[in-house]
Amino acid sequence: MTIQVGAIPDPIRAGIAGGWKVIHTGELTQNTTVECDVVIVGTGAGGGTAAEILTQAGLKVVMLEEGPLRSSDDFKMREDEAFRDLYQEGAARTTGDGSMTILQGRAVGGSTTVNWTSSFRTPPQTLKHWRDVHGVKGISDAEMAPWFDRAEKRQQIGPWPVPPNENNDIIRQGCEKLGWSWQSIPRNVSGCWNLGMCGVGCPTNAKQSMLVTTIPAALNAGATLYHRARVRELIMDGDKVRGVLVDGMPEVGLQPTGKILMVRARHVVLAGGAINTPAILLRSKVPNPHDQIGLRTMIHPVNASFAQFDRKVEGWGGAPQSVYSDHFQWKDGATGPMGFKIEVIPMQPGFVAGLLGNHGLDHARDMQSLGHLNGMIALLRDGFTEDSLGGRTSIRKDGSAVLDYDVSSSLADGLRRSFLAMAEIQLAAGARSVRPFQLAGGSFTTLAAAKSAINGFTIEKFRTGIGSAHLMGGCAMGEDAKTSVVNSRGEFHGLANLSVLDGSIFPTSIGANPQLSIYGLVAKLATGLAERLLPTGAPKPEALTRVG
Amino acid sequence: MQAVTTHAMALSRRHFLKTGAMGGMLLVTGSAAALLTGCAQAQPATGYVYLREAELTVLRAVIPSVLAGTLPEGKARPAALDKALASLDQLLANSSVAVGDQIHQLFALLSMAPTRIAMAGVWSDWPDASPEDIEAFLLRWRDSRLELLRGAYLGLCKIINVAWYLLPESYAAVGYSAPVRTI
Repeated sequence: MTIQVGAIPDPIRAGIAGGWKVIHTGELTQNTTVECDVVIVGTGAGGGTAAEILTQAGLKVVMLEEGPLRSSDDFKMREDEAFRDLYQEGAARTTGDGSMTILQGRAVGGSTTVNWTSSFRTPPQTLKHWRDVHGVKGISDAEMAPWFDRAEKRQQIGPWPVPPNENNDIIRQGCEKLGWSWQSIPRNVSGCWNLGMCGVGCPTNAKQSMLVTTIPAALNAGATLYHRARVRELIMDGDKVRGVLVDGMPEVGLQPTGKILMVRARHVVLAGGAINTPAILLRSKVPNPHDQIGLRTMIHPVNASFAQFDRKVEGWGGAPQSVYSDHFQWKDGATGPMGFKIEVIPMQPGFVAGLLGNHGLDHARDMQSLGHLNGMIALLRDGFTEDSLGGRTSIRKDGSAVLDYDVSSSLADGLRRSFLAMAEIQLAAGARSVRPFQLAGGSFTTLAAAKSAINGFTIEKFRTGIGSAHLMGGCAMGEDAKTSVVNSRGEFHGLANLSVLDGSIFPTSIGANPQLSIYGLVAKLATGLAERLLPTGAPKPEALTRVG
Repeated sequence: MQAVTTHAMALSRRHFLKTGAMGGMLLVTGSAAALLTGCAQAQPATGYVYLREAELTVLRAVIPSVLAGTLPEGKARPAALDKALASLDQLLANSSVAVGDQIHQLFALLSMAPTRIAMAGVWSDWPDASPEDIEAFLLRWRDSRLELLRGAYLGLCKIINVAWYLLPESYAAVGYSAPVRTI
């Protein structure tokens, strides 16, 4: 049976028809200069949240987005179009050596346009670690709680009352058999149809992404949005930043049009996300006396275990992520052997086809039984132990961003333990066989066989399948400029009017899907920034009095 | 053009250096291949945005093995192969300069006879290689102790598999029915 999605009002098209200031930078016919109070680079979880707050505070805001503007009328639930339009590097981004797949959004709304809606507050253990080890101020549980409350209200985050699809329910079934803990995943949706197409752009506007919440709010309040706007570099002037230099990009294609947009601003907010934000700083040759920019880029390294079931799984339909297990997340504390979260992935064919790590008849057999396949993943919590320093973001000769990430011994150990845990859950839930994503690693019908094989795996690059959809860090927060890039207010050390407000300021990974961590922290920091940017003695706008 | 080739070589050098002495040897052959093939055939093939003629030759030989068991056979094969190639072309054309360069370089190694023989173990030209030759080549790379060759195996299989399963033509075999927009 084919599910049909008919006409749904498209709030972006309606807004543009109603006079929003939305400009395709690739269609500029001449070099152009604009002025504003604040220019925000990036429109994802960080940039979108900041744009709404700064605009509603009365500041003149320009939003820049490298990706295209796509909205519900464009979301045809086709993977090929989504890969091309909505993901960094056409969903082909990898670490520098090609060993790890990186899924990161690149469209108006950033990764929130394509994420799977899982919404967790920053775990208290993570916030405590940032205070204790990285010296971040102002992030006690009590100080953060109102900002998470606010973000949950804004993005309509709450429990998901619909039963999970079978792909997710396998986590519950397996964990219950084993006596392991599991929970339901809160989601940022309103009126969700349970289609399962979150990763290719929500066709019903149920997902409360930046695209349908904060960005429309900012545009309604007078902000300007430039899309297909690739930031080349900051315009530097001594210890000040004067704005940004932007290359117009064609609707489709990799080469700039040649027309330049110059945005002059009192304050610059970088919110391009991990990898892209540190790359802009490096391209701009900002002061970097302690060589910290790009260090500690965290990815929640992910490995996968596929399992065949006799019953139907059909993991392409229904909320992609609705059940998780943190049974192994904190059991050895924040700094013990690397913890991990267990979730599943949506099972659309193009996506899964790239994750099986085989070819020919083996691959064809796996794909032909896709409807009976469970795809489980473990997200390793990197950045907490002394040997887990994450990766390093740098720029190539042509200025493009590249992340190099190595497998530390604590990560290798965590990957092995998570392979074992996933196989155990899948077999306990009744899997006929399990196949860890390990090159020529084999498939197993008993736990004893799986354990024996996994314990013998050589965990290494280009043998163990590793990927990431959670890019964090590279501009770590902290009060000591020797070990961080921005302070606890998100201000760049050493430049007066430059802030970073996105997931790149996290000093470690989160230990949970990061969108709500970004919403909460950026809302707090952007509100502080708005207060500092408003004239002294000016009445505090209503938008800034809602929290705190 | 020279800039692009040099850039690709710099990228590969950084990568190859990590793979040790054996990698060093491959660097020499690899760079030579990139130099020799890079400029002469730098234009996309007619009807393609990214893929070059020499790359199409490699792919027409390799794709049927990577997609064995799912690519239609007999009369339907040529059209299916063209669809897979067009999908792959789009995938790579819309990736990034860096990804595009890396993949071009992989194909450069496979296109040149000396490196094809030395690294892939395929003695005949691609159109003459048997399915057994190609399967042996894929397994040789998959089971190599060299990071470089395993990475090339994973990369090559990944782009071909993804390109095929992005096509609606692949859905029936996997039992997938995508929701459709009716507007």
